[in-house]
Amino acid sequence: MSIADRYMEKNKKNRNTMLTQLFIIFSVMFLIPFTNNYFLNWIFILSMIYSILSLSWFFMDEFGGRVNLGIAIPFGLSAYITSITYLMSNLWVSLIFGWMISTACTTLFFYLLYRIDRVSFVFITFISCILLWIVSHSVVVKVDGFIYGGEEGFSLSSTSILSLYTTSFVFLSSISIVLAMFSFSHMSLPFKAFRDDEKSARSVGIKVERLKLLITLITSCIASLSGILYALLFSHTSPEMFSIHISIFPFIVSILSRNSIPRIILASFLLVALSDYMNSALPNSYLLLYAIILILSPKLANFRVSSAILRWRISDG
Amino acid sequence: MIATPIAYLIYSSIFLSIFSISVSLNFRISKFLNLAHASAYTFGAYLAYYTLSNNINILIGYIVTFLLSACLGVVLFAVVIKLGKNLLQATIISLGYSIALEEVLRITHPTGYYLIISQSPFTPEIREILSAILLLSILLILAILYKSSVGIKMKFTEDDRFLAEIYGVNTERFAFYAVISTFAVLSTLGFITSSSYAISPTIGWNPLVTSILISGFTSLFRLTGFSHFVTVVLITFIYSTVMYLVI
Repeated sequence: MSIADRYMEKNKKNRNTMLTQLFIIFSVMFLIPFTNNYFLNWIFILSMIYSILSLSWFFMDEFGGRVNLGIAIPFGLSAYITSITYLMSNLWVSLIFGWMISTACTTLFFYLLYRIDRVSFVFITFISCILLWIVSHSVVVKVDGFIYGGEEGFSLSSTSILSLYTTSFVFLSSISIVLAMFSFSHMSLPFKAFRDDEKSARSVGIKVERLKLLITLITSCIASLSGILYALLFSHTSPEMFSIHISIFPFIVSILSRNSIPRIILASFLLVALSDYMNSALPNSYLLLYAIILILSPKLANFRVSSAILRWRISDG
Repeated sequence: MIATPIAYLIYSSIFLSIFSISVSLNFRISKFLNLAHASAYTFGAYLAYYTLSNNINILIGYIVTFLLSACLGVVLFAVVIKLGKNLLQATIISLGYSIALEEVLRITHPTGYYLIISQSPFTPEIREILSAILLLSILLILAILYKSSVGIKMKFTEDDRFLAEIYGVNTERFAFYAVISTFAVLSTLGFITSSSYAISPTIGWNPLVTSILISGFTSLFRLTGFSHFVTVVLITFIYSTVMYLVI
């Protein structure tokens, strides 16, 4: 029996459990549109979009060993490029163009940042995200004599709630199932080896540069997709898409979910629902909840050991 | 005075120098990137708004701002010491603290922006002079500290905190003073400059990010002690000039 077969055999039970959990979650999601409740559908779409964003973060953390506090960069960039292109062309062209350009740019950016150490990576991604947030307030485009953008942002075509629900559902289910299968397959082993120790991975012949490129490409691709879905849901793109709370959302989810894919989806749903409830009671009060979770994150990590936080503790000695 | 481009350049350089020195001092002594500096600055601006809108004596408002922000610095330091075990954890805690402060301000002030230009006694000229005095005071205090016996310990802490602790330097005490003093300085800066813009909870992020970039660039020179902070000021002036010429 080869190493790959033994690995597959050992993880078969865990993989099946995870797939069963995902099946239950997606069965519930599948039934929501039949309720004909607009608000419920809307909140589920938003949660699915945030789940997709959190999964992109999870991929870089779990297989690339990097805590990315700049995940709002592909999220916001894709929405911005799509909205700007939409001013000059039709929706489909702008969607594909926005997604591709954003994926390409952020892949290159994150790939170049892989050359620096893990701690600096966190800082630089975070600072870059805030810089984009500041700059995005000044992005204006003049088309046919009219000026668009600035603090107001850009408009996008409105999409029916059912088609957006179906699209988000298809993307979330396929991404999470593929990631779940990948996590337990032997193909994830080189990624995990690279994540834990880059030098050792290099020494056993793993093509590290190729892995880095793959990790950044997949992360950027998924995060850009979630940004476009978000812009379509609100039919609007604003500088807030680069804001701090978008960047820290997946980090908070990882603290609550212990980096398990079904838990990531559930934690995203819980946070979105709770944020919406708190927001209706007192506007923006949900950010206080985020702040408290961030402050307590090292303590929470004692109970919920996400791989990223575990690595902080290891690096701390 | 503010009308001339050169005066504007000098003023923005002084403003950014104070911010960059605070960010740099905190990072070098306390060994974490204090993202709560953004909200310390905002906090000072909001207290200026309170002082002026309630017709409180400006000097009393200033002293209250200084003391309250120092208290907020003490709370942050206590949380960081209790929960943050390394640079990354401490930085994340400071980010949470910053967001918490901003959100408290946002929740308690439903209006998005506040303008206190007409009420403020800080005319552009007074603002420039006060900021210049603040910068010179900071540099003077740092120069005195680094010339004294405390300076050796501070340099040691900057260079290698672990080694400094082995040799009996109370690095925690230095970290405490660095956190509260930088917090108080930035709140004071927010108080002084509050009349130059519309006050909102996120005003601190723009100068903070610029200051982090300036501090990061200055750290490439691998200087320690007072010379590092003088270099921070020089680089801030170069940065402001370049930005002025470009924009």
